[in-house]
Amino acid sequence: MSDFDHITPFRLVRTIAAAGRGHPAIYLLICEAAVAKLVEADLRVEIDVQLDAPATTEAISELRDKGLPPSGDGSVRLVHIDQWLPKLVDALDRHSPFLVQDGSQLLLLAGDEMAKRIIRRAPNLRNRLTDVFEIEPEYLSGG
Amino acid sequence: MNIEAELDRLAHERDDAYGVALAAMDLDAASQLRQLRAYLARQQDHRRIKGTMDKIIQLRQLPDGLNELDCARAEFVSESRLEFTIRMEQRQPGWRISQFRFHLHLPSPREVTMVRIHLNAQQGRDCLGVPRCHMHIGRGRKHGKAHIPFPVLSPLLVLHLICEVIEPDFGE
Repeated sequence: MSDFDHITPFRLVRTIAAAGRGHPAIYLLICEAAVAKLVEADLRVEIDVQLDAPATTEAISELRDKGLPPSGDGSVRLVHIDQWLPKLVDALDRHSPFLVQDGSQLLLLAGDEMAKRIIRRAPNLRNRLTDVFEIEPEYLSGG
Repeated sequence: MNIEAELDRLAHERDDAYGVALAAMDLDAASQLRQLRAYLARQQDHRRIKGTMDKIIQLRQLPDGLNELDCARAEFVSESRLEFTIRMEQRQPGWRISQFRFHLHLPSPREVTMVRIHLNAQQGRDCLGVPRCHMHIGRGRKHGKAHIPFPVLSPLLVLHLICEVIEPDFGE
């Protein structure tokens, strides 16, 4: 795995809450593909509980033709980079100043290798990242 | 009218109402944990509680399909400290709180040193003397023996009551 700091979904959303909902942020979150859905689910619930805000989840493989326009509805956007699409990464890099210009928060979820490729290929996006973390699910399902 | 019998009937009626209130709360342990943790984190933001919140509440699975939320220690800036456990059992169609214990230790020189709020696992025989959901004010046999009936509330509301009303005011 990478050398980035670890964070939990609870702690990440707490960081967003502490900064304030109008504070724009882009986080690159690294997680294993096998647990990506669990992390997504944890993030969605924590966003609901802590921010009382909607969360939209998209996979980049579904966005290939649409790009990533700002949501504009106050939701926290969670984009799972599930496929290496260089053209889309280039577009994200080019348009990085506008991704969260409405004061929203964008969470990019990617595997370790995918995250490293994005960081190498998209210098503008890299410079605009609020932070990069390794993230794991919390396994709170009970039972 | 037999006053003792009437008091006993009223106490049973109250404890039956507790059961109805508990049955109406369909709360799963994971979402309770997240809510209670987020609430404590807000209290930390307001500088009422110290420490980190990530592991402040643990979810444990117990035998017989019970889930238990356990907060071993939450420390207030005032030096009060809170411990609580909440047990939940699976009942169709969801989860039901079966028992909880909230223990608030208040620092000296407060006149009240401890407040305990309990929901017992079952309705007892002596509903009049020991309501299923009750509060003790004070510590030990000498001061905290009385079982004062307490309404059945969601754990989040009990926590709010402790943090915003009981902890700041009791014994001051």
